[in-house]
Amino acid sequence: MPFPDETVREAERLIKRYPLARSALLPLLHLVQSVEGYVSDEGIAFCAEMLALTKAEVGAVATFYTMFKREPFGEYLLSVCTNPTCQIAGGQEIYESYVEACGGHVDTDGAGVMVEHAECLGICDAAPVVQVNYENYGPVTRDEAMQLLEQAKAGEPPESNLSGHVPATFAHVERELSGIDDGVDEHLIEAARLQATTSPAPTFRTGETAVPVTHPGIDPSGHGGDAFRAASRIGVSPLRTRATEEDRALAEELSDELRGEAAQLAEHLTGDADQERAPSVEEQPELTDEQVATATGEPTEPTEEA
Amino acid sequence: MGTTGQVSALSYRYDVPGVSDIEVYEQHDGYEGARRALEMEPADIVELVKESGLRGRGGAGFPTGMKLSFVAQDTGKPIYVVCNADEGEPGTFKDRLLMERDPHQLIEGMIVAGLAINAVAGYIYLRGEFAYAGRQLAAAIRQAYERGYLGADVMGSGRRYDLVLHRGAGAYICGEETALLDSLEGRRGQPRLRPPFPATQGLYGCPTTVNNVESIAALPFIVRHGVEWWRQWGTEKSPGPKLMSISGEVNRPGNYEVALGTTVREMIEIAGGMLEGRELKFFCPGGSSTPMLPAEKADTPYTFEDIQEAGSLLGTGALMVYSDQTSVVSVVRRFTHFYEHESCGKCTPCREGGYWLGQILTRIDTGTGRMEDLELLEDLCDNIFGRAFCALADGMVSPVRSSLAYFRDEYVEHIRRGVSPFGVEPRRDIAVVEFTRGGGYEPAPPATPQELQTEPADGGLSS
Repeated sequence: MPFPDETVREAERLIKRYPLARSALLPLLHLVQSVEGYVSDEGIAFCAEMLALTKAEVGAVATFYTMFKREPFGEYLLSVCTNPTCQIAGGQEIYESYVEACGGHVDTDGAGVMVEHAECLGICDAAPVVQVNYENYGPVTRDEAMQLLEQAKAGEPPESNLSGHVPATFAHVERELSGIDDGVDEHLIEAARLQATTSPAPTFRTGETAVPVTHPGIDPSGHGGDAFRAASRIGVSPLRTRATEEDRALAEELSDELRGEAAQLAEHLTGDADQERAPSVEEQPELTDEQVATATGEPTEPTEEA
Repeated sequence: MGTTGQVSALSYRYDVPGVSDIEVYEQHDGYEGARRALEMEPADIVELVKESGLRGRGGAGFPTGMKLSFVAQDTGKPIYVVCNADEGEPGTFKDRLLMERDPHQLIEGMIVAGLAINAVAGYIYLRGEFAYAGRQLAAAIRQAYERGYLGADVMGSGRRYDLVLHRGAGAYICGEETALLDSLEGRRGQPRLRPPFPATQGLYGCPTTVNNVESIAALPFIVRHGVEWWRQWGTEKSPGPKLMSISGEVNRPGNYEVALGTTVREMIEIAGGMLEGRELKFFCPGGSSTPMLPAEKADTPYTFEDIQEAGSLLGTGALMVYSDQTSVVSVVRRFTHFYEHESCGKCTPCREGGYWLGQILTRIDTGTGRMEDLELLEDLCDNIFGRAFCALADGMVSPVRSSLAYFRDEYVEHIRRGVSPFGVEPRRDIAVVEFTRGGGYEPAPPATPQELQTEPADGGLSS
């Protein structure tokens, strides 16, 4: 779905809060969930566009965190803690009853619910705990838990016996989690601007990329250099001759033992040592989204977390 | 050793009605610590924290003062304070309550920490699932900005200090400090190679200190009341009060503040004792990733050094209590599934090892285990422990190793009988207990534990 202009403006506001734009990715994904109810491929593309990242980079983040849902389900997310303290108090049973009652993890009848088992939710004093859109209920009996499910399905969850708040719909809660309504934007935006313009300015980490490169042609940032491109036959792959003389010597030494792609790579390296430097990453033709998706193994279908 | 038992220090405002409002908070000495810190030189604040002997409350127990002093001051880059509020260790719920009940305490702590290391800004990385705590913190931060305690001119001092509330998205690993920084930078939360340490290259490549909520919340108290006040509790090496999350098979699970040095048995008593008809069998002294200890060690004083000597770690201060009616294999199996699920996948020993540990433990727990599985478990643990980037892998093997050391017989029994000797039965006899603590606030509470003030338990759902 296309995102309304309002969302674009809000996304811009979130991004400006940080001295480096990418920091806003988690808040942005929460914002996307508040608009779509989940993170769709379009949502990922939206974040990528807003932050000048690739869709693969955003997809990698979106699939890492459990709070980003990759399929639509409706208005209420029920999380049942099944860690030991809740488990021995009956959490596992509740979870299993939920799955049975919903015929799976998603039940789109009524308001629409998703059921998930959660790792320790940090309310062990009220075990067993069920969360409805991150609002806590506990301790609950199996019957109370089933009643909670029914109420959620009907779109009328009761107020939490712990915080006294009635859970808002998933979209509302996600909006809150994005932090867009925290109300101190002007301060944060000014602070980020000041930080970003100091000298030396904040940058992304440098430590790991400073590790010396020993493999011929591999991008030192570890994000798949030319060797990766060559091996996966993506796009045109003009080999970058970043390798040192030492690497070439090693490649030559190994050339008899290497097979297939690796052998071609070695041959290319040893044969074209005098050739002019191939274009850098920036100069190389852009990959299409499809190619990126293939290369990173990013699923094209939303997957349900086990 | 100082006084032991239940005390009232960091938690003394918890029961003050409406203390999440800045007005009420200030009536109860709020922001006094920050005012005091503004009059001090940064180096003096760090020195004071060092002298207090405060040790990190997030798990590792690293001296907080030393951590602050490591922050590089000469790079010319902005300096950041990051508060680790990604509380996710099974059994731990002290930070959540602190942020829900008394959010200004954390904000004040962030100001003091910022002043101590000349930081330009602070980030609170809050666990995403803590929606209510987030609501409380966001409102508190808004109020602090309105009052001019944050922003361009902190309390009229002419210094700028900002505070960003950043909510996570559900990943235990983001409680590891470098993974947290990666997550804060908008990446997958995976631990970084160290060195460089965050003190020199942390958030955005800038000098950063990452501290637990409770450590940061303690700073205003230390600045305001001084080292002696802090050291009246605990021991030379583990001074101060400690927020404890006591859970499991006790009558009143909940948050309690105790002086370090209180024994585990005393703490179980403070939490109402074991459930009727149940006897203490084992406990995890500091959350699931600290090695479990058998009942015989319940008289160990709860300090960093004594718990370590007993063969475990103090961790986050989450005392998980299990009785003779609970199967240790089932508990360990569930812990292992937790680590298996939460492994970020960066290091093979942890990613694959967790899976295999889970498979083997499931096999034993469900009655299809083999005797040689026990050696296999030990062998796996040896190949996981210490072979990964971060401590998650070490935490993963802790319950397995320690349970094999203390309850090997039970494993053997499981395998021999082919079934669990214990049924894991759901239990309905635990009541919700709100935070209970000693009486009214006194900077130096009396030595004897005070009468518990238990709020009426609300066991069910109102519907």
